[in-house]
Amino acid sequence: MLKNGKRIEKLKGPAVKGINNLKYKVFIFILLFSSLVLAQENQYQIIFSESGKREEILSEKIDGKEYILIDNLQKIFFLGKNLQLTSKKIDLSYKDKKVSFFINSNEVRIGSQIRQLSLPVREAQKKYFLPLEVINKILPELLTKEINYKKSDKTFIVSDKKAGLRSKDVFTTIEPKTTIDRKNDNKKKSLVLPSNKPAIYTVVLDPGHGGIDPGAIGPTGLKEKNVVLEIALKAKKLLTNNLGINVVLTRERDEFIPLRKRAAIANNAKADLFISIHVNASRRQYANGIEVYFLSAAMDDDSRAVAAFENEVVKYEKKDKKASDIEFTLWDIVQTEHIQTSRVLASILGEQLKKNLSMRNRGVKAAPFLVLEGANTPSILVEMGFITNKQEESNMKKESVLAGYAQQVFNGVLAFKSKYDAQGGKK
Amino acid sequence: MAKKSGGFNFIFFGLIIILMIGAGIYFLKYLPKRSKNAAKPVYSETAPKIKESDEKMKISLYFSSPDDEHLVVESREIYRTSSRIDQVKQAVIALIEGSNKDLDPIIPEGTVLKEVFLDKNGTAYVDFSIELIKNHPGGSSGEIMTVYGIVNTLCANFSEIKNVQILVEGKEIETISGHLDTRYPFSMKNI
Ligand SMILES: [Zn+2]
Repeated sequence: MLKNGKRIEKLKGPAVKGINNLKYKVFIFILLFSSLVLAQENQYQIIFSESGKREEILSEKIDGKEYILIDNLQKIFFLGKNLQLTSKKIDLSYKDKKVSFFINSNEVRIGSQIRQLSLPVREAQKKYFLPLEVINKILPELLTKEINYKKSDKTFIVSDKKAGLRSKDVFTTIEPKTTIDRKNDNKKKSLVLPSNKPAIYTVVLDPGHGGIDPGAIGPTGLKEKNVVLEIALKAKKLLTNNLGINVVLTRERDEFIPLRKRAAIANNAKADLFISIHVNASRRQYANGIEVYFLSAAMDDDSRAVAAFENEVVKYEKKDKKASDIEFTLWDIVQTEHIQTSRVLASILGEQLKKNLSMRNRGVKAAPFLVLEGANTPSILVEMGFITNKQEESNMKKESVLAGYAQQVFNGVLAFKSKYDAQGGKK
Repeated sequence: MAKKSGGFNFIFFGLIIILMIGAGIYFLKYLPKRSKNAAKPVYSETAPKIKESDEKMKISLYFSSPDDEHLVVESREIYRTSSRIDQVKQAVIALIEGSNKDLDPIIPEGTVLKEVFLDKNGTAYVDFSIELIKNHPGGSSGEIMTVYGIVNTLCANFSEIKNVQILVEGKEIETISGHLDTRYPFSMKNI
């Protein structure tokens, strides 16, 4: 015992010294670091061409990148500011316009649009910094002005907007709104591929539910999870054998896969199409028929995207989150980019079902499906009849009927593939 | 030492006996009265209490069409309580109680309304018991009816409610039956 005690004491000495040493080093490091962080770097001129007014603004380097203190921007451009620290949101306003930045994030919200900055918004010593590019890339929208950056002179020139002239948009713009009647010019955006490579090569089929989640249950106890797995396996066989398509299933057996992981599986497989297969349910046993869904937003304004985004920023801040979790949340609204194509896919499959099945067709609809939101590819969800309907349930027990449903999935993919392969080939 | 702790024990047991008598009186007097009001299972121990009022007001409830394809409006009278929250709670409880006509319920049997909150941004938070999930029949159609039945009823009748977030047992939920994303609020939609 005593021996051990002595030993410990012996060891303690240098260790304590080491800690002191470390403290000292950390202190020096913090001093150096903070001076680095707040080292004033460059002076920029801001010239208001209409009034001739000139202002100077200093940039500050954070991790080697140039940033502007928000307060300085506010003074020069007379901007209002609203900090919401719980949601990590910073609103800058001018007259009736508003842009929202999010601390540690590259995303900027302008009205209904989400834009990407090349650098994230930063916080240092309770001060907030925006990347320099905000001046000529975001402020023009907020001020409704033209702002040109002359790099060689370190000068920004602010002028009134000329009608018909728009500064070139270098951002990737994601529109969270799911307006259905958008111009079809960006309809094929996600599917235009270089030359003769087929546009549809990998298809991810997602048999709904599974494991502890049986899905809907029919009057005689037939479970949705088993029916949809059967359909998906059959459809996979058809697609692989007849079209040589690479088919990935989100589950190949009776197991529980979280909804958001299903979209992640599709993204990891680089899916060109994602089809979630379900069967429907109702309290009333005579409800029957088939439905195809694509994604729509839950909120008619853009507050949902903000909510999603704030949520994501908060999650991102939590250190115990695994990288994969962060990826899932970052993918949350990815589907919005593909909604037009998803809608086309939904109506193509809807047409096939109408043509080839004698079941009631309840049409193509849109709703905020969790499984579709994260998929970075055209995605739909199909409800192959009502398991709660006695007749339809008994059909679902027949091998031939399930094969027929699988055939419809195959037909839908084929029709979609031939349409888009042709367009892909054209380019 | 032993004496002291004996005295303490005596006081302790005395208190327990007083408490038990108190509880007995409470149950005898209060419970029968409560159960008279609570004819419907929706008023459980945890369900919010609503003050009554002499005046009534008409609201529109959104129930499901029998094929779960559309929402259909049914008119209902509730108490015009001074508290707006109490009006909202009555509307949700009326939804739980179901249609007086032949319309389909949108909220699963056994579900209890636990609480309603309103925030400054016009979001109503409606907190249900776990039966909302446990007793849900499943299917996309049914889930759409449940969500939009609640959302449309609240948005259509209470102008300050712009959107509705559904909670279960006080918590945000990912989904009700495995299809819709219920992590965020919904605004009204024609179904
Ligand atoms: Zn399902």
